[in-house]
Amino acid sequence: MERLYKQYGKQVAFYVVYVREAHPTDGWQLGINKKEGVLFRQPKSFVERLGIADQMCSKLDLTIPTLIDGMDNAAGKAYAAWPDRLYLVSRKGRIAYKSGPGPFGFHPPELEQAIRNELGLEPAASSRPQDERPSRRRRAKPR
Amino acid sequence: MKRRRYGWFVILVALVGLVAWQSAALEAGAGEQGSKPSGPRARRGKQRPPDLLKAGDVATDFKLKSLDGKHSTKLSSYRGKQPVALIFGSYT
Repeated sequence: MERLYKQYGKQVAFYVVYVREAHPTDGWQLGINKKEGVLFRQPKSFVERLGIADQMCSKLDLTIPTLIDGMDNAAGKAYAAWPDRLYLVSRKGRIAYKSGPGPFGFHPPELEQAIRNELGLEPAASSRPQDERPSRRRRAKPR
Repeated sequence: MKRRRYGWFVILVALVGLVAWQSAALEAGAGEQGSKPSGPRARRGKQRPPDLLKAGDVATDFKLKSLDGKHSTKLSSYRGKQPVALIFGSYT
Protein backbone atom coordinates (compact mmCIF):
# COMPACT_ATOMS: atom_id res chain seq x y z
CA MET A 1 0.00 0.00 0.00
CA GLU A 2 2.90 2.32 0.66
CA ARG A 3 3.95 1.91 -2.95
CA LEU A 4 0.49 2.87 -4.20
CA TYR A 5 0.48 5.85 -1.87
CA LYS A 6 3.83 7.04 -3.16
CA GLN A 7 2.81 6.51 -6.78
CA TYR A 8 -0.71 7.94 -6.73
CA GLY A 9 -0.80 10.01 -3.57
CA LYS A 10 -0.84 13.35 -5.40
CA GLN A 11 -3.89 12.43 -7.43
CA VAL A 12 -5.72 10.25 -4.92
CA ALA A 13 -6.25 10.86 -1.23
CA PHE A 14 -5.14 7.85 0.79
CA TYR A 15 -6.27 7.07 4.31
CA VAL A 16 -5.77 4.16 6.64
CA VAL A 17 -8.93 3.90 8.70
CA TYR A 18 -8.10 2.18 11.96
CA VAL A 19 -11.05 0.10 13.13
CA ARG A 20 -11.81 -2.32 15.94
CA GLU A 21 -9.20 -4.98 16.57
CA ALA A 22 -9.59 -8.06 14.44
CA HIS A 23 -7.87 -10.47 16.81
CA PRO A 24 -7.62 -9.01 20.31
CA THR A 25 -6.33 -11.00 23.26
CA ASP A 26 -9.81 -10.98 24.76
CA GLY A 27 -11.34 -12.22 21.53
CA TRP A 28 -10.29 -14.46 18.67
CA GLN A 29 -6.55 -14.41 19.06
CA LEU A 30 -4.25 -15.68 16.34
CA GLY A 31 -1.23 -17.87 17.06
CA ILE A 32 0.95 -15.71 14.84
CA ASN A 33 0.13 -12.68 16.99
CA LYS A 34 1.19 -14.59 20.08
CA LYS A 35 4.48 -15.51 18.45
CA GLU A 36 5.23 -11.95 17.40
CA GLY A 37 4.09 -10.27 20.56
CA VAL A 38 1.23 -8.34 18.97
CA LEU A 39 -0.97 -8.65 22.02
CA PHE A 40 -3.71 -6.09 22.55
CA ARG A 41 -7.12 -6.38 24.09
CA GLN A 42 -10.09 -4.78 22.36
CA PRO A 43 -9.67 -1.09 23.31
CA LYS A 44 -12.18 0.28 25.72
CA SER A 45 -11.48 3.92 24.98
CA PHE A 46 -10.62 6.09 22.03
CA VAL A 47 -7.28 6.97 23.59
CA GLU A 48 -6.45 3.28 23.95
CA ARG A 49 -7.36 2.58 20.33
CA LEU A 50 -5.33 5.56 19.21
CA GLY A 51 -2.36 4.26 21.17
CA ILE A 52 -2.47 0.88 19.45
CA ALA A 53 -2.84 2.54 16.04
CA ASP A 54 0.18 4.68 16.79
CA GLN A 55 2.24 1.60 17.66
CA MET A 56 1.16 -0.07 14.43
CA CYS A 57 2.10 2.90 12.30
CA SER A 58 5.47 3.13 13.97
CA LYS A 59 6.21 -0.57 13.72
CA LEU A 60 5.17 -0.80 10.07
CA ASP A 61 6.69 2.58 9.13
CA LEU A 62 3.38 3.70 7.67
CA THR A 63 3.37 7.12 6.06
CA ILE A 64 -0.21 6.93 4.82
CA PRO A 65 -2.36 9.34 6.86
CA THR A 66 -4.35 7.44 9.47
CA LEU A 67 -7.83 8.15 10.76
CA ILE A 68 -9.24 6.51 13.86
CA ASP A 69 -12.75 5.12 13.92
CA GLY A 70 -14.79 6.19 16.90
CA MET A 71 -15.66 3.80 19.66
CA ASP A 72 -19.14 3.48 18.15
CA ASN A 73 -17.33 1.77 15.22
CA ALA A 74 -19.62 3.65 12.85
CA ALA A 75 -17.23 3.76 9.91
CA GLY A 76 -16.20 0.14 10.36
CA LYS A 77 -19.82 -0.96 10.41
CA ALA A 78 -20.86 1.18 7.46
CA TYR A 79 -18.06 -0.22 5.36
CA ALA A 80 -18.19 -3.79 6.71
CA ALA A 81 -14.50 -3.26 7.40
CA TRP A 82 -13.80 -6.18 9.76
CA PRO A 83 -11.13 -7.51 9.67
CA ASP A 84 -9.76 -5.36 6.84
CA ARG A 85 -10.91 -4.12 3.46
CA LEU A 86 -10.03 -1.77 0.63
CA TYR A 87 -12.25 0.81 -0.99
CA LEU A 88 -11.90 3.45 -3.64
CA VAL A 89 -14.37 6.33 -3.54
CA SER A 90 -14.71 8.19 -6.82
CA ARG A 91 -14.69 11.96 -7.27
CA LYS A 92 -18.45 11.74 -7.46
CA GLY A 93 -18.53 10.26 -3.99
CA ARG A 94 -19.53 6.78 -5.07
CA ILE A 95 -17.93 3.41 -4.41
CA ALA A 96 -15.65 2.77 -7.38
CA TYR A 97 -14.02 -0.32 -5.89
CA LYS A 98 -14.67 -2.54 -2.92
CA SER A 99 -12.43 -5.46 -2.06
CA GLY A 100 -13.47 -8.65 -0.40
CA PRO A 101 -12.91 -8.97 3.33
CA GLY A 102 -9.35 -9.61 4.39
CA PRO A 103 -7.11 -11.40 4.49
CA PHE A 104 -7.96 -13.34 1.37
CA GLY A 105 -10.06 -10.66 -0.29
CA PHE A 106 -7.49 -7.96 0.32
CA HIS A 107 -5.95 -7.30 -3.12
CA PRO A 108 -3.90 -4.12 -3.57
CA PRO A 109 -3.37 -4.83 -7.29
CA GLU A 110 -7.12 -4.63 -7.77
CA LEU A 111 -7.19 -1.31 -5.94
CA GLU A 112 -4.43 -0.07 -8.21
CA GLN A 113 -6.41 -1.03 -11.30
CA ALA A 114 -9.42 0.78 -9.92
CA ILE A 115 -7.30 3.87 -9.24
CA ARG A 116 -5.87 3.83 -12.73
CA ASN A 117 -9.35 3.43 -14.16
CA GLU A 118 -10.64 6.33 -12.10
CA LEU A 119 -7.75 8.50 -13.21
CA GLY A 120 -8.20 7.54 -16.85
CA LEU A 121 -4.88 5.75 -17.02
CA GLU A 122 -4.05 2.61 -18.93
CA PRO A 123 -4.24 -0.58 -16.89
CA ALA A 124 -1.03 -1.56 -15.13
CA ALA A 125 1.20 -3.53 -17.49
CA SER A 126 1.73 -6.44 -15.09
CA SER A 127 0.44 -7.61 -11.77
CA ARG A 128 2.52 -6.39 -8.91
CA PRO A 129 3.47 -8.26 -5.74
CA GLN A 130 1.11 -7.89 -2.82
CA ASP A 131 1.75 -4.76 -0.81
CA GLU A 132 1.86 -4.78 2.94
CA ARG A 133 -1.51 -4.35 4.61
CA PRO A 134 -2.11 -2.18 7.65
CA SER A 135 -2.87 -5.33 9.58
CA ARG A 136 0.31 -7.31 10.07
CA ARG A 137 -1.46 -10.63 10.05
CA ARG A 138 0.13 -13.02 7.67
CA ARG A 139 -1.66 -15.03 5.07
CA ALA A 140 -1.55 -18.79 5.24
CA LYS A 141 1.80 -20.10 4.10
CA PRO A 142 1.87 -21.08 0.43
CA ARG A 143 2.19 -24.80 -0.09
CA MET B 1 -11.14 -54.62 -10.14
CA LYS B 2 -14.00 -53.73 -7.73
CA ARG B 3 -11.53 -53.29 -4.87
CA ARG B 4 -9.42 -50.89 -6.96
CA ARG B 5 -12.46 -48.76 -7.90
CA TYR B 6 -13.60 -48.62 -4.27
CA GLY B 7 -10.16 -47.46 -3.13
CA TRP B 8 -10.12 -44.58 -5.60
CA PHE B 9 -13.59 -43.55 -4.50
CA VAL B 10 -12.56 -43.40 -0.86
CA ILE B 11 -9.51 -41.31 -1.71
CA LEU B 12 -11.63 -38.95 -3.81
CA VAL B 13 -14.19 -38.45 -1.05
CA ALA B 14 -11.43 -37.81 1.47
CA LEU B 15 -9.83 -35.19 -0.78
CA VAL B 16 -13.14 -33.41 -1.40
CA GLY B 17 -13.82 -33.34 2.31
CA LEU B 18 -10.35 -31.99 3.05
CA VAL B 19 -10.71 -29.22 0.44
CA ALA B 20 -14.13 -28.26 1.76
CA TRP B 21 -12.83 -28.14 5.34
CA GLN B 22 -9.82 -26.04 4.37
CA SER B 23 -11.99 -23.66 2.36
CA ALA B 24 -14.27 -23.14 5.31
CA ALA B 25 -11.32 -22.55 7.60
CA LEU B 26 -9.68 -20.12 5.19
CA GLU B 27 -12.90 -18.19 4.62
CA ALA B 28 -13.24 -17.82 8.34
CA GLY B 29 -9.79 -16.24 8.29
CA ALA B 30 -8.20 -18.79 10.58
CA GLY B 31 -4.70 -17.76 9.36
CA GLU B 32 -1.72 -20.00 9.93
CA GLN B 33 -2.26 -22.41 12.75
CA GLY B 34 -4.52 -19.96 14.58
CA SER B 35 -6.02 -21.30 17.76
CA LYS B 36 -9.59 -22.38 17.31
CA PRO B 37 -11.70 -20.39 19.73
CA SER B 38 -14.74 -21.65 21.46
CA GLY B 39 -16.56 -18.63 22.87
CA PRO B 40 -14.97 -16.11 20.49
CA ARG B 41 -15.75 -18.40 17.56
CA ALA B 42 -19.39 -18.35 18.51
CA ARG B 43 -19.30 -14.58 18.60
CA ARG B 44 -17.38 -14.32 15.32
CA GLY B 45 -20.53 -14.34 13.29
CA LYS B 46 -21.70 -11.30 15.21
CA GLN B 47 -18.43 -9.47 14.56
CA ARG B 48 -19.26 -9.05 10.88
CA PRO B 49 -21.75 -6.23 10.36
CA PRO B 50 -24.14 -6.34 7.40
CA ASP B 51 -22.23 -5.85 4.15
CA LEU B 52 -24.48 -3.20 2.63
CA LEU B 53 -22.31 -1.01 0.42
CA LYS B 54 -21.58 -2.11 -3.12
CA ALA B 55 -19.87 -0.62 -6.15
CA GLY B 56 -21.84 2.33 -7.49
CA ASP B 57 -23.45 3.20 -4.16
CA VAL B 58 -22.98 6.59 -2.59
CA ALA B 59 -20.11 6.23 -0.12
CA THR B 60 -21.31 6.60 3.45
CA ASP B 61 -19.93 9.82 4.83
CA PHE B 62 -17.87 9.94 7.98
CA LYS B 63 -15.80 12.42 9.93
CA LEU B 64 -12.89 10.87 11.79
CA LYS B 65 -10.02 12.17 13.86
CA SER B 66 -6.46 11.90 12.66
CA LEU B 67 -3.82 9.84 14.43
CA ASP B 68 -2.12 12.93 15.80
CA GLY B 69 -5.47 14.16 17.09
CA LYS B 70 -4.92 17.60 15.61
CA HIS B 71 -7.66 17.57 13.02
CA SER B 72 -10.64 15.69 11.62
CA THR B 73 -11.27 14.54 8.08
CA LYS B 74 -14.67 14.36 6.44
CA LEU B 75 -14.94 11.98 3.51
CA SER B 76 -17.47 14.11 1.64
CA SER B 77 -15.02 17.03 1.58
CA TYR B 78 -13.28 15.24 -1.30
CA ARG B 79 -16.38 15.07 -3.45
CA GLY B 80 -15.76 16.77 -6.78
CA LYS B 81 -12.04 17.04 -6.00
CA GLN B 82 -10.18 13.74 -5.61
CA PRO B 83 -10.81 10.03 -5.43
CA VAL B 84 -10.21 8.60 -1.97
CA ALA B 85 -8.56 5.25 -1.25
CA LEU B 86 -9.58 3.80 2.10
CA ILE B 87 -7.60 1.04 3.79
CA PHE B 88 -9.58 -0.35 6.71
CA GLY B 89 -7.73 -2.49 9.21
CA SER B 90 -6.17 -2.94 12.63
CA TYR B 91 -2.88 -4.04 14.13
CA THR B 92 -4.07 -7.45 15.29
